[in-house]
Amino acid sequence: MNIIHAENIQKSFGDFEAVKGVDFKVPQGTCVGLLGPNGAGKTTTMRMIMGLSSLSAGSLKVFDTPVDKVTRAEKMKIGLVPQEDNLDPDLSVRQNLEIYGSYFGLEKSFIQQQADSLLEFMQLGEKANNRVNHLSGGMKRRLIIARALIADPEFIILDEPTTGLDPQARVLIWKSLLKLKDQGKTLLLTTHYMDEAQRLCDNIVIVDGGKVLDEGSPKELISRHVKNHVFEVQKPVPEALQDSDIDHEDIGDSVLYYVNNPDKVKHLLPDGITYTQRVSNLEDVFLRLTGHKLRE
Amino acid sequence: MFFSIPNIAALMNRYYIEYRQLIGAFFFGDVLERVMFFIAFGMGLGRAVAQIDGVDYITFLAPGIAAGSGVFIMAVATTYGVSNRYEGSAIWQSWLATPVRLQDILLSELIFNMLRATPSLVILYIVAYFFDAVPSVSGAILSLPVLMFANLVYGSITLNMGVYLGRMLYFRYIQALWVMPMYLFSGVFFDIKEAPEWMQVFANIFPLYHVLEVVRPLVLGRPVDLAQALISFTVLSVIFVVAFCLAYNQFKKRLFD
Ligand SMILES: Nc1ncnc2c1ncn2[C@@H]1O[C@H](COP(=O)(O)OP(=O)(O)O)[C@@H](O)[C@H]1O
Ligand SMILES: [Mg+2]
Repeated sequence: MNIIHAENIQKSFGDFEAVKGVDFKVPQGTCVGLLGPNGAGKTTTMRMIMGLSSLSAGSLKVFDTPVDKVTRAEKMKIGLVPQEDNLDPDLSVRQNLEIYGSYFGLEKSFIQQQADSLLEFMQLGEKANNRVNHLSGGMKRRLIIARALIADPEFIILDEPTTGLDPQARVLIWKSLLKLKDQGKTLLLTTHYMDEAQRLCDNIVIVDGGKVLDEGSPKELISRHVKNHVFEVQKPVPEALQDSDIDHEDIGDSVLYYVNNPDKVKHLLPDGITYTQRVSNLEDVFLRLTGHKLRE
Repeated sequence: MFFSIPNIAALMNRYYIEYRQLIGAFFFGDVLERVMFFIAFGMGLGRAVAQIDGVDYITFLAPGIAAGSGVFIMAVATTYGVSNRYEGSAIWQSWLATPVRLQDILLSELIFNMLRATPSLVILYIVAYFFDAVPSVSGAILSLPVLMFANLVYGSITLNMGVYLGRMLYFRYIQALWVMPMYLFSGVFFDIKEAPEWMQVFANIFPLYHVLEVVRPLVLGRPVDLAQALISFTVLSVIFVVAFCLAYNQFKKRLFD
């Protein structure tokens, strides 16, 4: 069963088309990553799923229900971690969880139980009675994730949950997301960290300029676009390599060569050439598909 | 458009928590200014104006200040307050990711601010009572529900301006073009029947004028023209429904489009 089924969804702001016909599915129990440079339309897509932004065209089903007909019961099964920190500034850490739980109409005892376990899960117990504006960025993010889980949702949407956090905080969040996956939750995630996506996501949808460029498992994407190994060769590139039919990409000062068998490139590289060789990863796929130019 | 009582109850609880923390600020903001107006004009100007509409000036003024106080409170709450919540801290957006819906939020904003403005009305009447300016205590008590409803109406109107506050509209415009004209030309400070004819006609466009037509006789202990009161109530109800629906549609466009 698909938790999300998007077909040709589009979103325009005035004349500007932010999402230009996107198709993707989020099967139950999987983690799908929506990757793309800034301005690709990721947040807009997530907002459409949450019913926070109307569709300009296309069909979007959430739990098999058209998004504009989602019932209260279905809405309760979705948790949202928005890109921006929108905690309630007038409430304490604990109140941010408990009061949020009350918007779902949940039993008080259930909410308190949830709040206790989520404060522990996100390691916020010590800060329970602090005001939220006194929290560090990492704590705010963790609290927002905890808040999204207050009604024990089946499906969690996370819009850049770790952007701007230090490595310790990121690892903590990864661990908790992996735990959620183990519990059978379905996740839809955006991130700028390719290692994060590679670690967490079963399936990845790469978007840019409001369109899907490709999708697949991290492995599939890597083997489809960047083979197993990547060589970065400084210019001037030796002629033998230039004349070869090896898959490559010019990125300005150097050229990237993608091969499954590293020997294929190595024997074309005379001594004294500056190059680096590594196992290719999702970052290479991302840069290959979305280009190396700076965005926004 | 249906409202969800559990959603509204949950939001009211949230507002109440905020209110308890800021009670001092709310109290001073809402009460002190109004009381000062009442005392300064009532005692100061009251000396010069011997009698107005058959009573002491300060007695005439009390229901006027009471009826007008909500105009300010509701205008600030539905513009600054609201734009803080959906643009500043963006907590409306966090609420909209739950079963809470836009109509629940808008109605809760109005009800909460109407409720929080109510103690200041009571205090104003108590102060006026000590100045011997409340001829009919039962009338003053009866006027409270009228004023509470009036505050909802004022709020529903200014909610429409809250959509634009910060983007293309400044509070000064709202104050200069709506709040102050209504406050000054509805008969808070003077008997509108004694005013120039154009002003009497002009006053009709302001809800405050219609509210005062009911509230002032009540507090002065005079018979209220029931037919007139019914018309006023109907007009105010229509204004409320229309303004609320307009605000809902504007916010829907602003937030979801
Ligand atoms: N409310 C809006 N009004 C106008 N343009 C918007 C609005 N929201 C987003 N956009 C534009 O749509 C594009 C996609 O935005 P967004 O979905 O936030 O991208 P991403 O999350 O992938 O960085 C961007 O160019 C952004 O400026
Ligand atoms: Mg974004």
